[in-house]
Amino acid sequence: MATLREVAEGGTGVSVGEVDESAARSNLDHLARRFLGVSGEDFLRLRREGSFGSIEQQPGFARVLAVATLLD
Amino acid sequence: MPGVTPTSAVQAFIAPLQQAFSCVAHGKISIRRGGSRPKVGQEQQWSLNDGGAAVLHKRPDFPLSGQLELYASMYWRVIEDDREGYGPYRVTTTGYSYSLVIGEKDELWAMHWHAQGRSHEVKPHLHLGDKLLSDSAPVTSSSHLRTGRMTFETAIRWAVACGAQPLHEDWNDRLALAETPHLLFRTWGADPEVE
Repeated sequence: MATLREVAEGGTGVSVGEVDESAARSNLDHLARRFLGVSGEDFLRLRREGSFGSIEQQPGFARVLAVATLLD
Repeated sequence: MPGVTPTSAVQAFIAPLQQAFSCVAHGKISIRRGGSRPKVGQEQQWSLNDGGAAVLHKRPDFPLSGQLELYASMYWRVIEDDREGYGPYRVTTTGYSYSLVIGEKDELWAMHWHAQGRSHEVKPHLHLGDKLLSDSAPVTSSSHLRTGRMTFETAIRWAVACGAQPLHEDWNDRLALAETPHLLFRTWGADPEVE
């Protein structure tokens, strides 16, 4: 349940709110496939196993990892 | 940014970010579940658009084709701070990942600070994408890419990263030792007009 009110404060066009987990999971899968060539589920499994192997060296790795940690 | 409660400290922390993001796009700052009312000391995170891209408008003369996307995440936690003007609660940043991507998957640059993890580099640093080093780069040697205040020791580190041969095996430790007094006592870090 979101506890920070969604706002479009002062006409900024930028709202603030807790993560939409469904949207984040979709982003994770999309970005993992696009930048690392693995599915979002596979990325989460590798994270649980504690070893990402060679994908950790790819430029998009930090971008994908950030979506996974957003779901923690 | 201090707050009288953890929640108000988070709000004071987020509001300027909201303003900054609005300079280039509309969207959402997504906070990890529970992060809007965090416990003191609990690791938290925000990311743009639920971890997805913020699509930016390109200048008319932008030389590269494809969609221009900004990604950003910041790691932080609420701490207690009893110094006058700093508390009783404030947010302290513990890491970040910002990147700009063009087209399908070309990273133009990435600014990283990941104090935890397996990377050998745990201090803030910058990755330049191959596109920035090509003939069609959207920036040139006359472009000014703002940074925080850079130390002479960082200039030495960049020289080493660009191929200079250090004269001592413990060169990194020597640089850290040389840099510490400056970092402890300098009065500004990002903008000399904001001490």
